[in-house]
Amino acid sequence: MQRITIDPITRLEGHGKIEIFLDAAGDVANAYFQVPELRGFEKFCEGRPAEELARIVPRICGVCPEAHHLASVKALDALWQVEPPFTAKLLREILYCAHFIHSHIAHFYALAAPDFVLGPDARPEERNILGVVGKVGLEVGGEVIKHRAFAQDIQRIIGGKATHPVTGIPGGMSKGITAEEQAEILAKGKSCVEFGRLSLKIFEDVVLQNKAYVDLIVGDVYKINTYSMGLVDANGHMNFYDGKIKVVDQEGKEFAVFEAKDYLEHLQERVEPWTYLKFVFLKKVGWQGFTDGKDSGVFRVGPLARFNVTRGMATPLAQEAYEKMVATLGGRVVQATLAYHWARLIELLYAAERLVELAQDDMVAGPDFRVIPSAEPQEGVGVVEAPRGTLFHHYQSNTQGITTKVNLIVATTNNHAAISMSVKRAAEKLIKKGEVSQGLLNMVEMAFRAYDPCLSCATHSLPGQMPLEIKIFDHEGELKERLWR
Amino acid sequence: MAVAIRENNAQVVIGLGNPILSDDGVGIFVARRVKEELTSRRLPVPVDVVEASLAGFNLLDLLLGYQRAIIVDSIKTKGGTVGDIYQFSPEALAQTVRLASVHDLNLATALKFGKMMDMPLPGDITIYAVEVNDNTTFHEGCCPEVERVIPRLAEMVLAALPN
Repeated sequence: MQRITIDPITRLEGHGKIEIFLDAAGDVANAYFQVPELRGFEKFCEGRPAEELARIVPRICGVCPEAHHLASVKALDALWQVEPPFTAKLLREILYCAHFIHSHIAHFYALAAPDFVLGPDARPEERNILGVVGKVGLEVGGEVIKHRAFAQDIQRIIGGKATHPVTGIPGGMSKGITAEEQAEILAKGKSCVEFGRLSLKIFEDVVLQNKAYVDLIVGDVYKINTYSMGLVDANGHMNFYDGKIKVVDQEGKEFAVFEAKDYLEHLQERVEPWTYLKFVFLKKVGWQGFTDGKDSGVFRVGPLARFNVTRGMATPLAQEAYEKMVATLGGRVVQATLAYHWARLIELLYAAERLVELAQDDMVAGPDFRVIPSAEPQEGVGVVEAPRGTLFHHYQSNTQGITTKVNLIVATTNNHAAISMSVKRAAEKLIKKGEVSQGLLNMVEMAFRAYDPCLSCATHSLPGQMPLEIKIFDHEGELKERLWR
Repeated sequence: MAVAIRENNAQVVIGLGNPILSDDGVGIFVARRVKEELTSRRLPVPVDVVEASLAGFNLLDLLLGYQRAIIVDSIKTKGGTVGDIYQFSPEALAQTVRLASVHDLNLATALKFGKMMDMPLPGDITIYAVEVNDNTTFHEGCCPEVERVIPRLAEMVLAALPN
């Protein structure tokens, strides 16, 4: 294999890195996944009027600003001890369902589908959304564009802007919606339900009908046995906007259920010398290194983890899809990393169904969308499920509402240990006796991509995405192969 | 999909970046400067000036319906001199059309996808990029080397806009 040169892009700094080290026999000794971390965000947020944070935090990145906005307003509700009115909660959750629709569409069609529609061995020039649309047809491409735009429209109506929403404030929302806007949201949401079904149908036709792919999904290459964490509502169903945090063990047995405010009793962060990004583990299990099983506090978040913690789906079509995945993959707990893609599509359908359900509520266009906070601000923790997993915002302020401490734990940090382990596991199983090919390296990368990791810190600089570099070193530490994406 | 109907000669200047991530905000600051100059000099140039912290599909949205677009962004290359200005066409980035490793598409793939789907994209797109030093620290404002080129690049953008 030769190095793929794509100047001037190969000269770009600030890229993600997967480094694979081989032993003398040419088998994998170790593998690391690293990303450059943005520095100083928490400090940047300190010493500011707390209510401004809801507008600052979406600037952390351009990928999930809505998740940060809502985790932030929920932390601010708690800081001012104020309960938003029902209408505000409806609007926030509708906005959020639209964000999930938008995010999951982008991930599936631009990133996940190419590996299956074109195949893991396809040339990189073909293995992209252009190749997918070339295969599945322009009509599907048109539907992708249309529903992505619908989701953006809904976010703009409620959030004030299609990205970087500004309307969430402590105690509710700064504006409501009109009956006409409600009708528009409903019509677009209903169309998204159909699109969610279409996407699952495509997954079924392309992936599930192909035995080789099903074997790949359930096989050893992409499996690690970890705890799972996600938000559930009062009925034990997954919810993106609100609920309690539930952790289940490797067999799906409940390990812990807790409120956002108690997160530090359950989660602990640690640093490793080779990366700036921290690792989070379950405090009551402890850190045993990068290993899975019951004795290791490593857990996962995101679509597959939510699938594992939920008792089922709260909407009918998503429930049907959930049952199918349970039946096909042999249980209510799935540890096959590539099944993240399937779980993500079930969530796409759920988000659309839930959006329609909420948008039908008589209160949604009501005038009562804010409660003015009156208590003295102190401390607040807000939690939401970001598309890629559980997201915590924790603020403390003085009595004037000026922030004194800000702590964030983002989804990709929660998943960091599991991503590192998944990359290593795939590399170990795929690379033998020093034999590497681009197809194999892409299959290593598939382990990482399934998590939809948010490494968006570099998405603003050209070329509009963070490049990923994969390096393979032999047992003497000499660079053997190098691949750029 | 709803696309605003624009004049035949509609053009847009898009400043990209994160305004609170040190040098990363340079595209935004250039766009602001262009807007200020258009207003203070009362230049009769028909142009929309927007700032955005996004990429991929979302960037595509901002280009729809325009005949011409100028994009200002930051870039970080190995051995590059901070403050250098690069100019290229989207074709120069075409070699990067590939599967994105992170969440979204890169610009070249997004444009190609837009064309494939017959979306109303500008026929003429120019990209200016400024070599930056720090784009990973949250901080308001750029380093002096980058700050210095903002007025010059704003003038280049203005000069590139036909009246």
